[in-house]
Amino acid sequence: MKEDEVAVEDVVVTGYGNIKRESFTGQATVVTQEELLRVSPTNILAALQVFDPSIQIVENNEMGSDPNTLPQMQVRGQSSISGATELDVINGTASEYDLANDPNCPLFILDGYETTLQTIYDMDPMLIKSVTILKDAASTAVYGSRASNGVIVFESVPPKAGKIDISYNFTGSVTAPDLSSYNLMNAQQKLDAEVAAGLIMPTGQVTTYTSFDNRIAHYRDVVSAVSQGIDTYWLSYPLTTEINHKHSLGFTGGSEGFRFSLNVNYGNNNGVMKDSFRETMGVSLNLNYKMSEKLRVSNNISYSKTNNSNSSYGSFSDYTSLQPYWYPYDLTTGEFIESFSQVSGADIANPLYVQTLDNYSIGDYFTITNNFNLDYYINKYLRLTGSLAVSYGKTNSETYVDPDDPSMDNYDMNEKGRLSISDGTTTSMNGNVVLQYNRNIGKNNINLRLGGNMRESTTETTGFVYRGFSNSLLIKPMYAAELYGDNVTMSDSVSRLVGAFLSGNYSYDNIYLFDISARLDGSSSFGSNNKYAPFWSLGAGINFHNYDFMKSVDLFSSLRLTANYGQTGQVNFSPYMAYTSYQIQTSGWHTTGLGAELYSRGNSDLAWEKTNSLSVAFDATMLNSRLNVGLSYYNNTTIELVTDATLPLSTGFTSYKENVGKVENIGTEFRVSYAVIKKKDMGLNVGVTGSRNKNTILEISESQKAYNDSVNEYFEENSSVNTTPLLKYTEGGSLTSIYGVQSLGISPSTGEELFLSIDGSATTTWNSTDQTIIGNTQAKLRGSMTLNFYYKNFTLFTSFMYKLGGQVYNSTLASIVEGVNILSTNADLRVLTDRWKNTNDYVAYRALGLVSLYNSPTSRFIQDESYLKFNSVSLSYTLNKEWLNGSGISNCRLTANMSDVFTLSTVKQERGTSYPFARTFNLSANITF
Amino acid sequence: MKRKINILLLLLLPMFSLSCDKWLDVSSSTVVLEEDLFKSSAGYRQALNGIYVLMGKNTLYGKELTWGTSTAMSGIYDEDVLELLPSLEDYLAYTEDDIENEDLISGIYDPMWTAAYRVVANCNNLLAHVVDEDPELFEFGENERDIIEGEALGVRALMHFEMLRMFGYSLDEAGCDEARLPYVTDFYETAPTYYNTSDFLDLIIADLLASWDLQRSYDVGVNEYFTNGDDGYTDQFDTGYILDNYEDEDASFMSARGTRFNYYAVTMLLARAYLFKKDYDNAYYYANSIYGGTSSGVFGTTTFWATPSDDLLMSPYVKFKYEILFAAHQEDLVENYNIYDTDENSLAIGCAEEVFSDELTYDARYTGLISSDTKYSKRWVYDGTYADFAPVIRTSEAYHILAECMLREECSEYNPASAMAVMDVIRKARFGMPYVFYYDLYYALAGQEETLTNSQMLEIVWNDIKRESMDEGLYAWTEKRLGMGLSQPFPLPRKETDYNGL
Repeated sequence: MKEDEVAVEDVVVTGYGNIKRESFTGQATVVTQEELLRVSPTNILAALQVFDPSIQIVENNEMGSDPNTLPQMQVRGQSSISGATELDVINGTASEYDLANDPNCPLFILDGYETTLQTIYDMDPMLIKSVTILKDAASTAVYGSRASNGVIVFESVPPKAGKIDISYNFTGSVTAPDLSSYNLMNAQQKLDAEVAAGLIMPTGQVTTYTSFDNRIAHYRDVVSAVSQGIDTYWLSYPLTTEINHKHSLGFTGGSEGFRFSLNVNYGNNNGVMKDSFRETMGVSLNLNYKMSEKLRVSNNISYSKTNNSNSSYGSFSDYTSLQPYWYPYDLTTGEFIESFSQVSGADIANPLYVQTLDNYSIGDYFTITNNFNLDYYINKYLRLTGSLAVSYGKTNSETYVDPDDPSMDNYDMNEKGRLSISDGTTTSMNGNVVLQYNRNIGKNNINLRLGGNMRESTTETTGFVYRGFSNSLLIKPMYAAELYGDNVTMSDSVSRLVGAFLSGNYSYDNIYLFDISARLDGSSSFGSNNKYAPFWSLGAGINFHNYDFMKSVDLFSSLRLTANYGQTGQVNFSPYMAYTSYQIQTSGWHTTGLGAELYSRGNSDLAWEKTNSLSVAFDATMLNSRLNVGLSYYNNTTIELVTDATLPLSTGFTSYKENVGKVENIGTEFRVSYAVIKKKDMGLNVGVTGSRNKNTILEISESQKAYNDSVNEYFEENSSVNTTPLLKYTEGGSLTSIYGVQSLGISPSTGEELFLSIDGSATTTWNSTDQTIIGNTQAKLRGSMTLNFYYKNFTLFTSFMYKLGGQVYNSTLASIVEGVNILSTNADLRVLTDRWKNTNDYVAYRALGLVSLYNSPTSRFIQDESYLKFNSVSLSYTLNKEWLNGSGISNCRLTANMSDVFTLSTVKQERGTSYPFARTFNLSANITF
Repeated sequence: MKRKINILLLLLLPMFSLSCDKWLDVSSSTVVLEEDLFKSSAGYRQALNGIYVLMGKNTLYGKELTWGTSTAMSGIYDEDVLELLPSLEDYLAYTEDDIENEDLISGIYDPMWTAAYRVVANCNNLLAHVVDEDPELFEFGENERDIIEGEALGVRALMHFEMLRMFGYSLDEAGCDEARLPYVTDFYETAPTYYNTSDFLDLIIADLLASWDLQRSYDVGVNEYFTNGDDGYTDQFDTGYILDNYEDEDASFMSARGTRFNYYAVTMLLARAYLFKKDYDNAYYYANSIYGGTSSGVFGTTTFWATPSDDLLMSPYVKFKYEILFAAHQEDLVENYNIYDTDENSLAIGCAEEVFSDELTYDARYTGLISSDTKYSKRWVYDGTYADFAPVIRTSEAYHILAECMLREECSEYNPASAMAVMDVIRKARFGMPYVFYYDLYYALAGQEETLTNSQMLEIVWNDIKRESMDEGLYAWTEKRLGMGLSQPFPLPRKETDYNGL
């Protein structure tokens, strides 16, 4: 029995077996390794959004290009609401589970098993054969309670038979910080700005908190510094241009009966902040043995390890705020100055001095995975596959704060210094059994899959904090004065899942297509009254191009319409959430013994979130396969969201998890590609994709209403600092809405801001109850544009990402241009140029003064955002085979690639506030011996 | 071939079988899932012990329901001193009648309410499990099961009763018909029912009667040493006390009954609840069962201190230990109190001279327990063996209730002379110097036609409650019951009024 070698594009890999794409009614996007590498040889996840507009990587404006920040991904919008609200995050009350788990993260499947975003992020792209993005009910229903956020299936490169192939891939990269969004003042400009703000105006003429004498003294100091030529460009100190390299070495070969492959990889990713890095390495061995004509077994064992370190230079924002007229070194000794004194307020520590201390934040993790697969061809039509995977992972992270660190100033000698150590282990076991039946009877094609899987995942974490370090030579727990008692954390969780599914595909004459899937999931996380969850989907489609009359017309090589509907689920709560639990009272025994008290109020009815999803797709390939058009529409309604239900205090608890709430995502997507030139030696292919998603909250819970009130309270309590908008939950609103008070602009007569209150009147005070929806970050249209050109051995690939419409709250304007505390931080140059000065000035920003004008969210800082990002460009060249004759090299390809070339945006704000963005240039060589 | 498929299907079937259910039940090692806790006798004990630990917190008996709010609201403390004490200046709001003060709402009322109902929730979940539990599971069988259930019911009633005192209206107050307070009996309740004072009291009494019934057989039948051990008393706080019937077992859970809500404490609380309800006959009955059952044992013995001396100021005497029927327990009790007992200032009993008036020099409750110069109280400051106990229910209350009932004409036991005789038992015990018996006083005056009036005699009883309890917080009960205290009850937490429509 021969295995069919089919082109990757022709099958849909569901992770539970492959389906012929032509007869499948679900929607799936398949991306090959080659395509991924064209976009980025290092970042698989970011590359995916070029190929499928339904995938969105949420831009992290804070962490920029930090190699240790994992991306946040969504497929077809947000359907779930995180258990950790924005206020929880601000107040530090979010649970660890909620912080670590993005409720909208798709399910990642690697060779049939659930894996983590982190594993994929650190994976060597050379090991990936293809990626299949499953996004509708028909394609994801077999994943049941894990399917609602979409499923991304990764398939690794299998061993190839034949003589031993050795392949080596090298990628060298140069990565440099991208500071184009920063526009800070230099020393002279900063001095001018301070003077303009009233630095040397006598008290009485300006409102200030510091005396005239102080200000004059400060003015003299600054003038003298500026005249000495001091103009420190602080941004350059923590940054560096780094060279990174990545190596993958693979051996594969063997006979038809026994094949193997061995892969070793190493890569480092040094970030643009000094000494921040992520280093990955791995080895995997894949054995594939054909025991008989009918039975094939394979085993894959792999080990991977990652080391990471965060920059010892701290947050980038520490540098952007420093005054350019300060000099980091003491002019006489040449040593770093410890701190700078300000004209008013506390001293500011010199981050460069702090960097010389022994602070560090490092971590590592490793994973060992063993996959065993069995493939039994019972007969021509029946095939049984079974597999068992076991994996063990261990993570460790360590953070040390030096006793001399400014944050330790207020502690006693024996309490200074902090060493935080946390360890975690994860063990998971997976078993799958799938029976496949595939048969053609006349014009009928039947494909049935019956299967089941079990999964157990155990995690344990322990965290300790030690304090009291005398010097940093001995940074070990035993040299600490004490274990910082309140900061010992331990948690563990076991979750188990068992599921069975039946999935069938039927086609008649390759024209009429039907799909049906059903799955029953049992999970230990569900409440005891809802242990088992059913999921299903139905799909139908027509391949018009297979009608005889269409075949005679040579216009369409493919013309099809498919639709499917079904219900999938998502579990968005920690494993014990459904259970009532007790905690042991470790302090304070009662006279008659140890006590236990209620810890959580369970809900035995707690269930998975359900998404009813309808998906319709139209695909056409025409003009001699030159033009390819795809259109799709979806309507996903997520019901019974897991949210907090509030309780009267007399129940002893304030809330419990309940299934309430409804969120809708309606969207359309398109994909057009056209082969402008299609010759043997030359080709030009252009493509554009786009998507539009409308997210609407249809129903909210009582606790979310209460949360909205606490957001209002938060703003009232924080009226004297700059605040950024916080999400509120309103029916009819969206999970991407921006809330704030509608601004009527700056009054030209007074320079004061006028707000529109909820009753329609104008007021000069910002009231948190006047907040309404003032914008939405969701784009009207977003997607990618690609251009692929090849001529002989050269291939050029470029990709652009675009966004049209949608708003953004420009916090740079709010806090660094207008809300700036001019005497204590540096600021955007617009402070000097764009602010109100005189009566009847029609400007966007209020008057500059020595006392900061703090901003609460106002529509004045909402801006429409459209951008065009030159995402990647790559040029590759394959060496002529003839040239390689006799060298032992059978294939050689060289690629130059650049990512994040530039961004054109309608919004000018600082990007990468804690960690800057970067541009990367890669040079790769792929050699096969 | 067909057979092979059948075999395969059979292999798949176990996945759907019942064994799945078992496999899907998981447990944790950092929290205890309730199913795991209530698998063993030890788990039940922990759940019950935990309830008492919660009751000992500062929000409840560790502070607010004893020497904190409960004392301050009766105007016991010196206002000038309160003003000087960190974080206690809020208490001034009580005497200034500024009850709806935001600081008190967020700092005292809401946490107190939350803590009390958290205790109720713990009781309810324990009750849900213990009610149907097989007595065989417990080391001490039916007796242990019964006292666990009985105590949980009793504590549930006690917590609700405390909330009635703080947040509710007494029957004399205008708001008593308002369906104001929730009586929660189901842990999974999401919409509790709110009751008016009279119905609320009936629910408290019903729980107490059930508790009384469940605990009687052990505390009266088996644990007969509760009031008759060494020197006439079992040490009700001694965990080492081994019961005759269970010599071979570890009986620590079954002893130290004074730290848990035992039969006698329940009896006393029943009397208090009936008195609050103005059901004087029933109040008399239950108070008398403490008085009658112990008249020779409690107040008649030598261990009750009659002559104040320096020794008395050392624990256990300072807490009147032998008279405590139920005390909450908190390890940091003394430490927490001492925060307010500094060299410069201490929680001075401002009303002391007025309360003891012309008996200042006789009554040991003044001479022994209140410093004559600074007027600070000595009850909470002494560290020692019994320092961790916060007295909640005392035998002396039985005397006060008996006396009051006998002074109420509605009571079938109406008998002012006997009432005065009962009061005299206390006076006899508390006075170290020659004193006047009220009984004699009553008759002497009666002989001269000008007898003590009922209201005078009630004043005598109530005044004695104040002397007895002083900064233990019990006098607030009397004030509440008689509508003599604060002008209004504490406002309910907003997270409660959203539900009861008030």
